[in-house]
Amino acid sequence: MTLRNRLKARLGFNRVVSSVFTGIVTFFSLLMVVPLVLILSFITIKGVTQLHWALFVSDERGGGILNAIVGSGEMVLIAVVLAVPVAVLTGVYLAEARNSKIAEVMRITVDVFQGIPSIVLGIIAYVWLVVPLRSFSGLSGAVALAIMMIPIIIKNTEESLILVPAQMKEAAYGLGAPFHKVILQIVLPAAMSGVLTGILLATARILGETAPLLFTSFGGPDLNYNLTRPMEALPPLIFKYAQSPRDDWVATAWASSFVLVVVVLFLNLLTKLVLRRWKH
Amino acid sequence: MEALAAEKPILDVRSLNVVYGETPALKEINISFARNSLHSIIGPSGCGKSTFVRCFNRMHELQGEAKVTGQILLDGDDILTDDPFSVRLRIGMVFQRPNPFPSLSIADNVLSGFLINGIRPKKDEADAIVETALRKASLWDEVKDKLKKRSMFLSGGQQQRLCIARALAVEPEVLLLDEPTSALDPISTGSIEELMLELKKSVTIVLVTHNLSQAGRVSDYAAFFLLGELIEYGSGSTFFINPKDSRTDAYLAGRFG
Ligand SMILES: Nc1ncnc2c1ncn2[C@@H]1O[C@H](COP(=O)(O)OP(=O)(O)O)[C@@H](O)[C@H]1O
Ligand SMILES: [Mg+2]
Repeated sequence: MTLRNRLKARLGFNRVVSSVFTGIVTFFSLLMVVPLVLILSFITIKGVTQLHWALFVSDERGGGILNAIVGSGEMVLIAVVLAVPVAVLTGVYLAEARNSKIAEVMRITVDVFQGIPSIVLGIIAYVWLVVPLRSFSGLSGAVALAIMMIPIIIKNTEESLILVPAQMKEAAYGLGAPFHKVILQIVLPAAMSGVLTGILLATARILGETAPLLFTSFGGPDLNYNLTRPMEALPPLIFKYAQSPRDDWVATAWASSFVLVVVVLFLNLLTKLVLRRWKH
Repeated sequence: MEALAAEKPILDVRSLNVVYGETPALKEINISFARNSLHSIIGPSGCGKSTFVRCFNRMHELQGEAKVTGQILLDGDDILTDDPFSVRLRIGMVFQRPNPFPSLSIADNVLSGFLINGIRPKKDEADAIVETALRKASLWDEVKDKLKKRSMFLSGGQQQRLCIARALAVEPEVLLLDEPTSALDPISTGSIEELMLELKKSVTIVLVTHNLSQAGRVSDYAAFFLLGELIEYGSGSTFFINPKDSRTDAYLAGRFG
């Protein structure tokens, strides 16, 4: 049999293997989705039924979770404000200084940082802020959360900037553009979807963190907007209430979990929308 | 056109339409290609030349953006409904930028049509295929001493001829070339033109080109596309000297495009 005929004869076999392979890929992706869908629908069913208006308008003393919502909101916002500029600029540095020794060391540091357990970051923020200031505070919680966000955003920024074609940069440099213009007007906009995705991922991550807040923001049942004082947040509140023997507290834990999931989902959709706007 | 039909064409395109989303890219294309000749497709950028040739080896379904309707008969078989893998064995393609597999040696690049399908030719068979394909692509003399080297060290023109050899190794009936010389220098371009003249004796070639003098030198037949429509198709000798349609005339004279 000539080789070409062997090749033709082989097509049938290849087609079968190919469909089996497609089947396996599809099966495992669906399998992946099943627990996600189950968890989400479980939280939704359990949570929606426990929602009531009082949750959102009173603090824990009044039977609500407003203090935790305010605390989470403020701390996450401050963490984002602290982390994003530092992390994005570091990502730019790592992407631009590809081969420098310093960048290599930084890259390793960032990787190690990403692996540090979040409770350790909480202890660090405790030693740095809580001890000198002699008080638990929302601010120290926000700092602990920011430290968690930074490596995630750096990695994402670096990786999306590397994907920007060198020709694009050359085009700008070729017109005599200075470094800051090339980065701010050409490279970052081209990589914006990756950078934003990194910021969102990191934000969603810290929204659900309990450990870094244990020795920093500590928590408290009263509604408080003051960042220099202890602050409650949703994840520790869920942790506290879910263990309770009281049924109404467990119900509140479910409702709070649902609120947290909705917020993360909303952030996701928001980013998608912003990105779509950006592209057109 | 009547004369062409009488020769029993190898490819017969019947009311081919391609739509990207809502935007039509090709409208009601009817054309047939005679066997073992070179057909060039010309027209301004964006008129649908690439869209047209990519229909022939079912490249569109890889992206999933284009909707293709109509018929393309290859010796009577409708390649738009056939199994895409066997269609691609019969209709080879060479792309605008040379794209040899960077991790494979020159010899393995030529054999990749077999290797990638799970066929491992015996040593003597492999040697014969590599030599024949490289000779057909007029690359043999330049690379015969470095067959085991990676293809990255070749020049752009050599890489493109390697891609042609790779396409020829599986003995396709039709070879699609989408602007194969637009990324090459004039000398490499010249050698690929000579190569096409030789190849068209045994393979039907569909060549997309922006280079009108190239089309004039190598074509047996030429087709002019404009805004997704086939404006004119005819034998090369009359097409370039005495086009029937005023728009073809204007394009050839460089008045637009
Ligand atoms: N993947 C795609 N999605 C949407 N529109 C496309 C796509 N590819 C090509 N087009 C459009 O189809 C038309 C024909 O493109 P193409 O076949 O690449 O032209 P040519 O090769 O003649 O320059 C152009 O208007 C182009 O913008
Ligand atoms: Mg094209």
